[in-house]
Amino acid sequence: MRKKHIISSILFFIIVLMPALAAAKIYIDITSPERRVPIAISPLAGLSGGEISSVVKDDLDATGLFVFLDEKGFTESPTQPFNRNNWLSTSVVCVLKGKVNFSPDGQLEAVASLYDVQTGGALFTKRYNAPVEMLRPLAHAIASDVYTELTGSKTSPFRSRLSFIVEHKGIKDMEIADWDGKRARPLGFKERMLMPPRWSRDGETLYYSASRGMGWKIYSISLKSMKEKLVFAKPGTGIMGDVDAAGDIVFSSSFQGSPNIYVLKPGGTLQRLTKSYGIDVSPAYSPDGRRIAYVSDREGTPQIYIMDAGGYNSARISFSGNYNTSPSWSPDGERIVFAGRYQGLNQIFTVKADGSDPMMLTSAGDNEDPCFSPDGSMIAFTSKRDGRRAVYIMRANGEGQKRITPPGVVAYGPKWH
Amino acid sequence: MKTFKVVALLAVAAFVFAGCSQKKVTTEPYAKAQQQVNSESKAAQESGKNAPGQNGVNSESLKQENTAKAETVPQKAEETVKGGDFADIHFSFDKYDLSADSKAELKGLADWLDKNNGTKLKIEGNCDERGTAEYNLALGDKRARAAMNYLAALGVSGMRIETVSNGKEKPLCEDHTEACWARNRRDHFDFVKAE
Repeated sequence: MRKKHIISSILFFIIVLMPALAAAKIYIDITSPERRVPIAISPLAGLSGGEISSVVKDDLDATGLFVFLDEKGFTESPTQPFNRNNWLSTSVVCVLKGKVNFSPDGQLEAVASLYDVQTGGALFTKRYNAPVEMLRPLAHAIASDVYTELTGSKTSPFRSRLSFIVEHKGIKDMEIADWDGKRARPLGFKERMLMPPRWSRDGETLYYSASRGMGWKIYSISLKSMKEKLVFAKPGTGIMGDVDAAGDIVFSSSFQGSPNIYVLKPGGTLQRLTKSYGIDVSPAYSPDGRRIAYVSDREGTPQIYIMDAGGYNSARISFSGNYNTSPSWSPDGERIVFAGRYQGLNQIFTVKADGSDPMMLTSAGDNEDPCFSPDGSMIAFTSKRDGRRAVYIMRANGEGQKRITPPGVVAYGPKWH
Repeated sequence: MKTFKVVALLAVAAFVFAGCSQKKVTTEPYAKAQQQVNSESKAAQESGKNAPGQNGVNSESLKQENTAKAETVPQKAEETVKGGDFADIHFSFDKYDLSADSKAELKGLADWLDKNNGTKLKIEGNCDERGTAEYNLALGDKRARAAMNYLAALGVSGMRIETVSNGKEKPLCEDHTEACWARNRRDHFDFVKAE
């Protein structure tokens, strides 16, 4: 019996996994992008096909990993079938082609194929269905498939969402937008005192602090039912931190006299993690939930510390400058991104979780509230470089910084899911 | 035993499926490829294989999203009442200790509260725009509490004082100058009716 099991496992490996491994050619090593890969994005055939391919192109362009063959250089029309001979004279390695139809019931039906010019084969062909108003998410799904196919990454940033605060004449609301800032949906808050929300790990709930005349309390809102719950209502200033996969909520509260870090378990148990006479604030769980990065002024100025999730073994990890705040983890747990004051302005830095290898990523204007994209390739942050506060994204190495919220809109506090 | 057979069968099916899809999709004209897309994804569904494959044809449906608006927890706000006229007290950048001037102001406030028993004091701690938003919320809390603790030391009951932080969310002045920042780094005093 056992022998058979082993044999069938080996057979399974040979028959199923071997071809998969052989086929998993990685076109781009995202860890050392020394050269950009030339590709062609052909407009999908059909109405709105150009709109879809332009979103795909914008997505891929933001990664800095690709160069695109100008459409004028195409010798194959969008409606013609792919033929490698039409592309061999160009520099492109891959070609994206496809078509899109509107079904009678108003659905978008797209098919996209990514072709390898060298072999003439399709790397993938996939059908996508979506309501008409989901054209951009459909395009992001295509871009994501191209990205994961060519980089070997498990995920892309293109299908993620960003939450942030939008402020108009002192009234604050939360919005959730696609990763490129488009399709921003206001949640309908009308608050004077509201801090940027944090995502639950499953993306279904937002946690945030608001003050509605009686002090800062912590609330949550289910994005399904859109109903709000009061999470932590003790007196003093309750400042939301983070929530881990088990639903443990870590936050700062001054209800015992000074802002300290506490954990609220799903069962309602409250555990105190720090005992400081100064300020302990902005706790963030490591991706595995075992450690917490936070800010403390226990040594005189605000600095970043990491402790274990039980509140023990705190160690300082920021050593340069006298004002380092807002830590957030990379999804692999390797690095911390934070806002550090440099020459009178806040800038975005990353540092390894052991405090080594600090890198300054921004230098224009005042920048704060950084966080990584769920795949770790990008960082979102707030910047005042264009006058008022707006949400920006950049690659994790600081390249490709660009504003994603509309000009003239005051937006800040991005959190990525 | 049975499970092994199923595994083996699936393995063979996946192999055949992966092999032929590669050949067909690449060599057929587009219209025919489209046909195969349909039939292949049907085959994929039948074999129960839905995970994105290397060369297999998959399909994905994106659903409409929720557009409902937030229903917030109702809460009554406090009513402020006219009380004594006390100036804001000010702080240095990123500091929450009280200056001699601030202490003198708080002494006057303690005396006034002593004579006006029906009134509660609300202290709002504020910061300038240069610090980061979340840290400033904690800093504003410490600034308000610094004044509360000093008043308590002068004999004012803690029950008569409440503190709230505005962080950098409620600036008096929005210029990017030291004079403006200095005005914003303050504790502000309001009075509310004692219950």
